[in-house]
Amino acid sequence: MTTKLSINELESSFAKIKGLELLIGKIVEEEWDEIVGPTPYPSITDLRTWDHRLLQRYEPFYSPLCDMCCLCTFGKCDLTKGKKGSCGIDIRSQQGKIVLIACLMGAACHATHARHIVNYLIEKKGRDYPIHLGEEIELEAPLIRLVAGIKPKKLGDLEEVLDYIERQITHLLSATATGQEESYIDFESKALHAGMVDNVALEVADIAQISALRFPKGDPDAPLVDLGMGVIDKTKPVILCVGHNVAPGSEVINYLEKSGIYGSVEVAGICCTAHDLTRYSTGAKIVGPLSRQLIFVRSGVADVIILDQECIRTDIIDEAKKVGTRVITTIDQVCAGLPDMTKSPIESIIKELVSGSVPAVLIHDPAKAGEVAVKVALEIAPNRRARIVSDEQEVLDAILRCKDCGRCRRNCPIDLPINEAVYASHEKNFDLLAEIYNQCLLCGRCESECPEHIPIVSAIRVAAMEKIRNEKYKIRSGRGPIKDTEIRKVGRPIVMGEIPGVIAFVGCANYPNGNKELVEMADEFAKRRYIVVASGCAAMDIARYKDEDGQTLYEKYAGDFDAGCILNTGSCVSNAHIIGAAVKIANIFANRKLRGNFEEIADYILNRIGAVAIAWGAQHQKAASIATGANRLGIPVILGPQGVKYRRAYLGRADKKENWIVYNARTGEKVYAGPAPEHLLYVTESKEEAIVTAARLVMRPNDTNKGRMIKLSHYIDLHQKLYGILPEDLHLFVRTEADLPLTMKDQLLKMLKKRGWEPMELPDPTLLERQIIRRE
Amino acid sequence: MSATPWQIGDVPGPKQAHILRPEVFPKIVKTLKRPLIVVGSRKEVSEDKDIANNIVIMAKSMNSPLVVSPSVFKNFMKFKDVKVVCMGIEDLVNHLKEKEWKGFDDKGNYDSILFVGGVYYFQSQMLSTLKHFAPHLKTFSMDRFYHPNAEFSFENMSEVRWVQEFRGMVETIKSSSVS
Repeated sequence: MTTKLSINELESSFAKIKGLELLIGKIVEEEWDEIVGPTPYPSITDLRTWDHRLLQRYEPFYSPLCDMCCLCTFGKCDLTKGKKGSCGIDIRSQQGKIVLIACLMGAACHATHARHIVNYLIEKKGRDYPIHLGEEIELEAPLIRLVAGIKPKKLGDLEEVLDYIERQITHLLSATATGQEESYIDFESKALHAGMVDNVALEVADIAQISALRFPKGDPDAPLVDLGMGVIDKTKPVILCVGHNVAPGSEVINYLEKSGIYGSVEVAGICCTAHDLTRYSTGAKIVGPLSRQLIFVRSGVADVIILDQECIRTDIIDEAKKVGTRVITTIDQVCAGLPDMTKSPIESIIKELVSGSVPAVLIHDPAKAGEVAVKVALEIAPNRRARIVSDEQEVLDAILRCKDCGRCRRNCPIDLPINEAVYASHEKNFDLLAEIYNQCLLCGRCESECPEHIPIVSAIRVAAMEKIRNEKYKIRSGRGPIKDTEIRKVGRPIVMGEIPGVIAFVGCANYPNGNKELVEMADEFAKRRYIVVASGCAAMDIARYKDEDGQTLYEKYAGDFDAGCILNTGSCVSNAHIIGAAVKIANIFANRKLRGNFEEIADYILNRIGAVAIAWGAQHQKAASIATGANRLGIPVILGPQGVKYRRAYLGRADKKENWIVYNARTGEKVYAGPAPEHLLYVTESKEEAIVTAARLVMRPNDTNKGRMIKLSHYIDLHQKLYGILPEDLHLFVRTEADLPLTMKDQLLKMLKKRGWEPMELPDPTLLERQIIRRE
Repeated sequence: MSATPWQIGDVPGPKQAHILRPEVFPKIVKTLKRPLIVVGSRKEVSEDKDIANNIVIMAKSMNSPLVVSPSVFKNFMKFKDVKVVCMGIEDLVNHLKEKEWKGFDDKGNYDSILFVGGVYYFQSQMLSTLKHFAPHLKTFSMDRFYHPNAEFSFENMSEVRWVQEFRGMVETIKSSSVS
């Protein structure tokens, strides 16, 4: 950061100075004439007023997973029945603290990811390498512009943003220590801040790699690539990359290309690294989301596994060793107790790995790791069959030990009837186990609990072998950002409500009933001509299902940011473009200034842009921080039932009229605008509830009559279809008769009149007094 | 089975549910002034016509409204002589935790919440919210899973035993309400 020192006039015995200006630190070439808003590089309290305003309307709702606080040596402290801990904390603040810690874990993951990738790319390309996201994208970094107040031109400019993010994370983490922050509302304000810097870190990482690697640049026609456990060609050497940082995997491809053997070695990935590998090269393949990790590693198909960072199972090295797969860890976040061979000669590392005397190593150099991985895979792949002894008979024998004690089910995160399925296979009926495969998270917790040590995940794999072989799908490679031209086209219909909403499917693979429900949700909204976007594991799982024509949703729908399309932005860090699209609409369509102008833009999005995210299988702390960042910008998020374990929601109360008062920016009057959006973070118990809730949460006070009519048509129709009745809360969302869907107008009016409904004003809505244009 | 949480790791802390015996529950029911029955989204419960019917009989006998999770609401629409509300359970719990909430009849909050048919882990967390933030409410879990976050919970039992116990319990509640 730059510090500016100005001395107009100084006279002393030492010197006489007039009109001196000193710039200390980095000199930034200033080419951006947009006026700087009130909060460039906001501190942890600069946006507190906005946070408190949000949290007053959407009050934190806590569901403690644990009644105690165990964070210091005074503890364990029992916080039930209103009791306080030794430090004075109560359960509400303790939950706020835990939520903040979770958000910080997520933000720190993304910040380190961004730092690693930026450092790697600067080393390869130099600090002056330009940030360039393609010809139709001038607004390259909406979140960085909004939060940092800078317009990054080069890779080196991103370092300054990362310095800021890391500083904020340190400040926030310090507030979680004993004897620091005490108020749950301020813990939440800090969590919102952590979420915001998380979102900026996402953007830093992705715009750096899109610019400097050969990723698609906002291409709606990004290529269709292979996904599924069945797409891996087992006749070739197989290198599997797991995690989120594309650097080592891309170096595998670089080395293969340089050696002229790309194509003769399979390069595949699990989790977001897989997304980014296919963005780097369409020859790479996606095995699947993080839930495929254990089952695929156990298959022994991978000759070498490269681990980078985040979402890596902590037992993956043990599992790999069992099937003779060699492992290379590459990032300092995952050292795994392995010998650091970064500085060892390549040939000696290869020798150790091939012989198996050292089956797993740490190499902190992506290029070296890539070369080692290729050479080792080429050497050991021919012996793969000898290496892997089929465990099928062993598994079938083990199943017979099952006594139907049911402890597997009772240790299953989603309460699957595993015991019934295992026990049924005593009679050679494997159908139930194969059925379990469709829903199973493949986490292996059932195995840990089994008193008979039955390898249940392996049993599921054996039972579902045919299904697994046929897992061959197509996904559109992550396209990255939304083009400015696309925003120009859809900005108006979104803000006016004529495109019923933007629905983003995001997050991990911790689903209550398998991925099919996710596919059904995405299909439902695309059919209804919402704009459907996806990222991360959710984007992969949307691809893991074919319709009766044998097509995945990515083959069925176009990849534009437009009504009735489904697009994949890419990996976790590509969530920046989903959130960024809302910011872009405010800037490109509505001409709102971005630079250091967070509150105004968040207020705009909350009141005008009908965007909602559904994190149906959210599991990781990163999903918590991404969602919390989206919430600060006024974007509601719906979680699947497992999301209740994040312990906190942000819920509105539709029945409290006073909570839904906004300013009419044209008159300065305070007016009731209805509960739109009703919640900021809401946990649903079922797919049906998630769909209907999304259709409700896309409503915004700014909707035109036509827009609200379209949104209400979908809300009413979905409510009737999935719940069987008309919505009871319709009166809250109908402002005037012109909002009512024409085909049902008379029927709905009767219903409304029974409830004492009266028309209300359509304001130019804002929560910010300073946005009032004139007072009457 | 003993009263260990149905999900083995779901151990919240020192305050765990008292075991509720189905044969004793009808006596407790008589002491409840404003009960509310909450039906979660587990299809095994709501799509079983006999169980759904018994839930409705119980609600009628106790003069309790039924709040039904939206995805299974269709199974309860046909029942006309009991108040059935379609509402997301998290939204409901957010209302219940406010002592001054007016309820569905504008007569005030309820005094006891009886859960049945919820997805275990989701219901556990809803009960946790009420345990910590709704001291004005008594919570009961009538599922076949021991729910430590309830104030009173059935112990873990098999599906077959639960159906039998539940049916018997409803029969007793019904007959005592008539008498």
